[in-house]
Order: sequence, then C-alpha cells, then structure tokens
Amino acid sequence: MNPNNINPKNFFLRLVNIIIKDIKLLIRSKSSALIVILGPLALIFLVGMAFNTTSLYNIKIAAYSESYSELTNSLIENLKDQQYSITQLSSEQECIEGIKLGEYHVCAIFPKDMSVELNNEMIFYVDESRVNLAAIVSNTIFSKVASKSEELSLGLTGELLTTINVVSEEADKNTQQLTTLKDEISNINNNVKDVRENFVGLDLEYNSTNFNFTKIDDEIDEIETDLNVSEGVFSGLRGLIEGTQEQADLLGAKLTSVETQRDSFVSTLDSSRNSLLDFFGKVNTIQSSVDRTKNAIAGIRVTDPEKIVNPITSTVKPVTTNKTHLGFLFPTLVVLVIMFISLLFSASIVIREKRSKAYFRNFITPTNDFTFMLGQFITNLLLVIVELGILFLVALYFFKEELLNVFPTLAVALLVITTVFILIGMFIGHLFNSGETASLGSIAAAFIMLFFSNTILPLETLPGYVTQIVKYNPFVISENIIKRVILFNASFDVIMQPLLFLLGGALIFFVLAFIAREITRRKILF
Amino acid sequence: MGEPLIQVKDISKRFGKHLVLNNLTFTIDERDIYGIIGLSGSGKTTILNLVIGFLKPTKGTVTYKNKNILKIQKEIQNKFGFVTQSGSYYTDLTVLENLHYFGRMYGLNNDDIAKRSKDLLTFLDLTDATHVLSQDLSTGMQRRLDIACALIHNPEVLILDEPTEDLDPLLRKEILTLLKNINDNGTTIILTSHMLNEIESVCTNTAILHNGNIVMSGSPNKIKGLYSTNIEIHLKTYPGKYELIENRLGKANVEKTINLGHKLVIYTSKPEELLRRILDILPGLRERLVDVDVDKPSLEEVFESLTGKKK
Repeated sequence: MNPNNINPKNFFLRLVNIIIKDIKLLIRSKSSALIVILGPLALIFLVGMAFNTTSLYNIKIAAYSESYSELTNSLIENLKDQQYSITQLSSEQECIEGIKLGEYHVCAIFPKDMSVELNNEMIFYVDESRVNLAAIVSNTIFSKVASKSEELSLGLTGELLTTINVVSEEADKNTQQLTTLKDEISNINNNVKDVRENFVGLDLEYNSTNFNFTKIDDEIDEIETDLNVSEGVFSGLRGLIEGTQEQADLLGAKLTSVETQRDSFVSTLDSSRNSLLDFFGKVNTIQSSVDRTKNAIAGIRVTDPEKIVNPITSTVKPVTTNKTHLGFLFPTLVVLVIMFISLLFSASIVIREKRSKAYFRNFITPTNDFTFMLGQFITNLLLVIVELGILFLVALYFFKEELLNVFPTLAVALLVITTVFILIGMFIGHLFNSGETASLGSIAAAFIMLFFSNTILPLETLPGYVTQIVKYNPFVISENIIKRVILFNASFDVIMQPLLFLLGGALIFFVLAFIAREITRRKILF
Repeated sequence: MGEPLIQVKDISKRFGKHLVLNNLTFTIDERDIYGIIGLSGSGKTTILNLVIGFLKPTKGTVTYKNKNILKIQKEIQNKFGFVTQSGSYYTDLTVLENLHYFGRMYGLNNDDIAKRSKDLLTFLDLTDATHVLSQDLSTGMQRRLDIACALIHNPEVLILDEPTEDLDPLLRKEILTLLKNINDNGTTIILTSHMLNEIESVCTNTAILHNGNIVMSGSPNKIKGLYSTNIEIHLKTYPGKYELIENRLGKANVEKTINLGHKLVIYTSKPEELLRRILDILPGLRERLVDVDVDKPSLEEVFESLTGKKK
C-alpha cells in the first residue's frame, strides 16, 4: 500500500470515483433524478407545443366608438377575421379600464361616424407595462388597420386619378377649340382690319368750291348780258342751278356726316380690334394654362394607384428558413436551459457536498482540491450533457436538418457555453453556505443575465454604458453563438472569438470558485 | 521514554478578536490514548484541527515526529485518521461504497481497498451492513462506520472529536472498548470529550482544557491524586431511602452528597469516621446495608475543582 504514490493513473481513478460518487448520490435522490430526465423533456415539449406557430392567438381587443359607421364595422370585421377576440364596449373609460385590469390587450377607440371623408384618427391604448406583448400587439394591430387604410387609400387615389384623366382629356379638347378660337379671332381681326382699311380708304371729301355755282351764275349773267336778255330769261335755269347747289350742299353735308360716321366706325373698329387682341391674349393665356395643366398631368410619372399609395415598398426577407416562433426561440431556449440547469445543478451539487457530512473528510484526504473541483465539474457537465441530449432528441422532431447539419460546431459551442455556466454555478455554490441561499444566488444570477439580454428587451433599448457592460454577459454571448450556428450555419471561424472569450470567462470563474472554496472551508468546522 | 510522537508547543489560535487557545503546550506519545477534556466551546475541536493541520495556528507549532505538520501535510493526511463529532461519510452511499470512496481518496488501489474494507468491517462488526445505506444504519453502526472511514488508510494516529457524544451508555461503552482495541493494534488515539468518566476509563493521558488554557495534564490517576483530598463513599442500602440518610448525616465531615437513586455517593475527607456514623444511623432508619465502596474521587471532581464549574 503506497498512498503517497500520486501518478496520473491515480489522479484519473480518483476523478472517476468522485464522478461516480456524485452520480450515485444524485440518482439516489429520486427527485433530482426525476428533474434531470423529465425537466428538459417537459420544457422542450411545452415550449415546442406553445411556440411552434407564426401567429398571435387569443389577443383580446376592446373597441369603442360613439357611433359605429360602416367603415368602423368593416375594420372590426377585418380584425375579427384575424382570430382576435373583439368586444365592443359602451365607453372609452370602460375600454381603458379594461386594459388596466388586464381584461384586454388593446383598446381601440374609433372616431364617431368614421368615414373616409371625415377625421379618421384612431386611438389605441395598450398596456406598456407588458413590454413585449405591447410591442407585438401594437405592431400586429397597427398593420391590420394600416392594411385597411391602404385599401381605402387605393380607392381614393384611383378616383383621383380617374378625375385627372378626365381633366386631361377635356384639356386636350379645349386646347383644340382654343386654337380654333384663336384662329377665328385672328381672322376676325384681319377682317376688321381690312374693313377699317377700306373705311379709311374711302374718299368722302366734299369741296363745294368744286361746284362753282357763282361762276355759273356769273356766266348766266354774262350770257344774259351778252344776250341782253332779261334776268328772268334764265330764271328757271338759275332756279335749277340753285336747286343743284342746294343739293350739292346737302350732299356735301351728308358726305361730311358720313365721313364723321366713318371716322367713328374706324374708331369703333380700332376699339374692336383692340378688344379682339385683348381677347386673343386672354385665349392665349387660357391656352397656356391648359397647356401647363396638360403638361403637369403629363408630367405625373406614376399613374398606378398602388404605386402612389406605396411609392416605396419594403419587404423584410428572412435570412433563415425558419418561420415559426419556436425556430427563432430555439437558440435562446437552448442557452436558457443550459444556463438554468448548469447554474442550479452545479450550485446545488456544490452545496450538497458542502452540507454533506463527508465534506470535512474529503478535505483531510491527500486528494487535492483541484481533483475534487474537476470531479464536480465533470459530473455537472455529464448531467447537463444528458439534459441537452434529451432536449435535442426532442428538438430533432422539429428541426432535424438544421441541427444535424451544424452538429459538430454546435457540440463544441454547447460544451464551452455549458462550461462557463457550470463554473459560475460552482462559484455561487462555494460562495454560499446553505442550499436556499445558493439556489437564490444562482436563480438571481440567471435572472440578471436573462434580464440584461435580448430575450426580455432588445439591448438597444438600454443606455449606452449599460450596453457596453451587458455585451460581456455570458448569456448574451452564448445566445449569439447558438443563433449564429443554428440559424445561420456559422462556421468555427465566425464563432471562434466569442468562444475564446467564454473560455476566458470559464477560467476566471474556475479560479473564483477555487478561491471561494478555500475561503469558505473554515466555515465547515463551526 | 523516547521522543514524543506529537508535540504541541506554545500554540495559540485566534479567530478575529476571540482568542480560542492561549499558549498551549502538551505532548502525545506513541500508542497513547490522549484525552482532552473541556467544556463545550472550550476549544477542543480547534486543537484537533490544529493537530492535523486543517487550521493554522496563530502562534506556536505542532510537530509530528519532530516535523512541523504544516510542512508535511501529505504525510499527515496519510498518517492521521479523523473522526468528527457528527460523522463524516456520505449518508446516501452504502457502508462499502463509503469505504471504497475514501480508500480511493487516500490513494489506495482496488486490492488494498478490498482487503482493508473487509478487515475493518469484521473488526468493527459491520459485515452484515456492508451494502446498507449509511443513513439506514443505527447510531452505533454509523459511529463505527465513521471510525472505519477514518481507519481505511490504516493511520498511525486516530483523532476522535467527542466520539461518544449523543450515544446511550451501552453504545458509549461499545465505542470505548473499540477504541481500546484499536489502540491495542498500535494506533495512537487522541480524543476529546466532556464526559469525564469515559476519559478516565480509556485514556492513558489527559489534558484539562479551560478558558483556552491547559490547566492540568497527565495520567487520570496522577491528576486525581494531585487535585483531590476527598474520598468517595458509594453506599447502597435497602429499601434505599437515601434522602433520609442524607438528612441524618447532616453536614459534619460531609463535603457533598450525590443521590443517584440506586446509590448514594458521599464525598468526605474523613472516610473512617463517616463510615462509622453511617453504620450507626442505618438501623434507626430501618435501612439494611447492601454494599459500600470507598474510592479515590473521580476526574469529575478534579475538573470541578480546577475549573470551578460543575459538569
């Protein structure tokens, strides 16, 4: 017998014995054994059943309007189609109270006699304290309402475009008529101009001197003289001449009058021409306006109502083939299971050992602390591997290909992640002296890591300095690694850096656990 | 007499501001059964933990075969066995599993573990309980299992912290007999107890611990001789109206009386005179003398006189 003989074989045998002892102790505790096997099975089964869907169900909406219009009812029916339960309430206050009491998830207030012509502002009340649900419900409900709103917009835009088309066609017709009108005005103007010219060209000048009746009279006098006839001989002639003179004077007067009238006509024609020119100018302006309208209408590049309502269409395309909530949740679920199981198991195993009557004897044997800690660590690792084995066996039912394709990478990642959480759990176990405080400590640690992760709220909602700290949260890092591996088939190269970071963390927690074990060993005496 | 096996020299231990042990010095020889007596909280367990090096002394040294135990921890772990007050084994493992596990932790191979386990199970009368879960054992068997676990690596020194605590008189006697047998096999034993009669019955050497100091050490008989002038008279009468006898004796030459129900113990410095008086008064009380025994005082009385406290 040579107990001092410490060699690798001896070390290995001691290690195996510690592991066998721990597993025996665990198995002999019926409740622990049951939890190991049934815990993950129940968890993945329940989560699988619950989240293997893409929709939101059983969302209760309360609706209120002073007066329900056809549009309001149509919106309500639209929501009902989406399997939401809708209750119409009798007052806005009742609706809001319903949210506060948790009876409804959304309270939708519709405007009185809601119609497309009137104010259509809808108000939604949501319980923001239910942070995750509020966001999902708001998004979903808003998208349903937006869909109806878009449908209405399409109709209205269609009507508008039809009207613009009619205007455009009418403008085309009017342009031709205006051109004709302009031509006609131009012709009239020319005609008027010609008439005016003709008028102006009329010679209406009358010169009474051209009718030298005095000379005629003198000639008659000379003839009378020459003939030595009495004055009465030519009195008839003289009378005719006088009559002619009178007629000539009358004609002269008439011509003068005509000339006056002509001047007046010319003036009127000038005025008319000016008016025509003015009218022409106005027609021209109208035509320009019509042309501009036509050009503006012609300048409308998009005439499809769909494109006017949604000039920019966005499509969010998934980078994964997973479509169910479970698919997206699975990486988080895996890390969550690892975190809780590792923390709780390792802390409770350490505490069970510490509280065990045999703890002291272990300390006074020649087996060193490192061997005991390594033994405990491997025991925990084996337990978590069993748990994960069960979990993944069930998970294969849901994601056979996704998991099998990435198995080697996933296995390594899970091993590193499990190591970190086990060592954190062991540290907590060594830090506390009772099962209750250790459980509380490990649950608190798990919840802190969970709360400061993307699971409850996006990290982006946290203040910058907190985000800087939280990015070192092992849960966050682990979740990212598993997501990358399962959802995006990430290779080792991609996850190497965070894995190394986790390994560094594991080393730190191993040292901390070792220190905590040494510090608290004295307490077992008292 | 050669070199002592264990030497505790000028050792003090302080926890924070509380001085638990103050400058203790004592030696333990090979094959001794060394008893440390003290009240609860007097520092008995602390001494044991200092002796195995589980605690470091604030001052002083503990040597094993003239070597500082803190510098030979591996040797100490292999040469010392420790039985704690409440037992130190896995209750969810069977007797054999416990022995196998601790044998492995002591670095024994399978053959050694098997042989040593078999010997111990026979020696400690646990053969029938080999495959019984420790938690299902009787109190006495559990105590024996704990001793077996401490002996699995065949230590030279067995340390026991209050080994008979919480045991009934029969089990107590059984354990004390067992300790004598272990000692007969060559194992040095160090034990603590606050039960003075058991220390007296098994220990070859004793230290009385009080207020962090060893107030007396040596063999029980030597201590008793040095620290008591009284003699004990153990009186048994029929029908045994001991209260009447106590009253009739009064205080003259009587230091103290203890009515144990089945007998009366009287402490006196003048035993002859008192015996005469007892024989005189018994007929008047219609008491018949059944048995009378005169002895030196017990360690209990010595402890009382040294510490001023009654156990």
